[in-house]
Amino acid sequence: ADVTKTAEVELRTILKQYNGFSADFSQRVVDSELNVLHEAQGRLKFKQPGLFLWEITEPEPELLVSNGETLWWFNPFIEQVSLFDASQAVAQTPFALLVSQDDETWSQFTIEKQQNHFVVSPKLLDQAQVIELKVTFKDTLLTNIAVVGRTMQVSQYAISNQVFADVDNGLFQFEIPLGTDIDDQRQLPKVVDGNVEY
Amino acid sequence: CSLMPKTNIKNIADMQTAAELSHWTARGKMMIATNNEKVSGYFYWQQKGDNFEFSLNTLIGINMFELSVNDDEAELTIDGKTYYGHTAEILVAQLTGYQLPISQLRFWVLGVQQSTKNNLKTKTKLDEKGRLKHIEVFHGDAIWQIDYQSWRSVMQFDLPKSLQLKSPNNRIKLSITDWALQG
Repeated sequence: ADVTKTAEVELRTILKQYNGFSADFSQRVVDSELNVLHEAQGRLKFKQPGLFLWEITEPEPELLVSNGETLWWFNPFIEQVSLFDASQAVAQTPFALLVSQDDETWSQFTIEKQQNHFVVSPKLLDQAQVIELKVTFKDTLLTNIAVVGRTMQVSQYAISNQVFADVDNGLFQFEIPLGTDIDDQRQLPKVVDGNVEY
Repeated sequence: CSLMPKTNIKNIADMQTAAELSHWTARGKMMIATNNEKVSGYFYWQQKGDNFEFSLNTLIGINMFELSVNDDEAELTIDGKTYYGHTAEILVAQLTGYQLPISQLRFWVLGVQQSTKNNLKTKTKLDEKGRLKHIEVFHGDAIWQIDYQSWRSVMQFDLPKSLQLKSPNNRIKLSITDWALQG
């Protein structure tokens, strides 16, 4: 277990530096027979703790943004936004883990270091959709993220144009456009300033 | 009756209309909406004559379901379990509750109207370029309305880029962002 501990400590120490980080990503999803199922482009922003923006720009826009309290998942294609508590964020998308400073959240995963990448796997594998999150660094610069699903489909994100610079907290908010269906999956719906609550 | 011979792949260059296409790959985004729920994901659709593979995936590449038909044997894999049946439409309806016009979808998605005997009262409207604009057809036990919003030229064909299909209790929205034609 201490092997995991040192790997976890090392990974989390690196990630602490990602406190004001922006980059572009190019995603490619491949199935176990190496068919290319999906390709997309987008940009990401990280700020510790708990703030992240994951925006797909091509071929169809979709947006995940969290201000550390609420996670908005906006899907303009179906004119719907889903809201989650930040504590549910990691279950919704593994990227939330990269900005999490919550020991309890991290304790649900085992971390292993292999050469220049860290392999993060949920301890409760049987219900997990994501069985592996692989984060690759060149020294401490994030260069690749891979998400491995239960059906051995792999989503590779090549990271580029990495910039360490402060990101305004205002960017980690989401203004729900008029007419958007609201799918609120938060436990205790609270007033979120700036957003209409019913 | 199947429009295409099962195995041999015609040379695309000799083809006049998209109706002759039998082996192609389409990728894009799909929404399936019922009266109380909207599901959406990114689809990968590989058609090979009468056989096909279709997978719907989340934005981070996690598989939602996989459907394939091989020589009249339908197979649906959901949450790690695989189910078998003879008709894809029945299998999908039983396991997901979605009534999807799968046997016709392969033609509609190409912007092709397959003239079958049983839906004589099909209504179709064409746009100024002679492409399908609206279809109203009886399929399964429901009237389906198909509306084509935009097209894209791929080789010598005009293929749909976005279309919507509506039946009394199902709505499907397709945005096809990539076509690859094999034959």
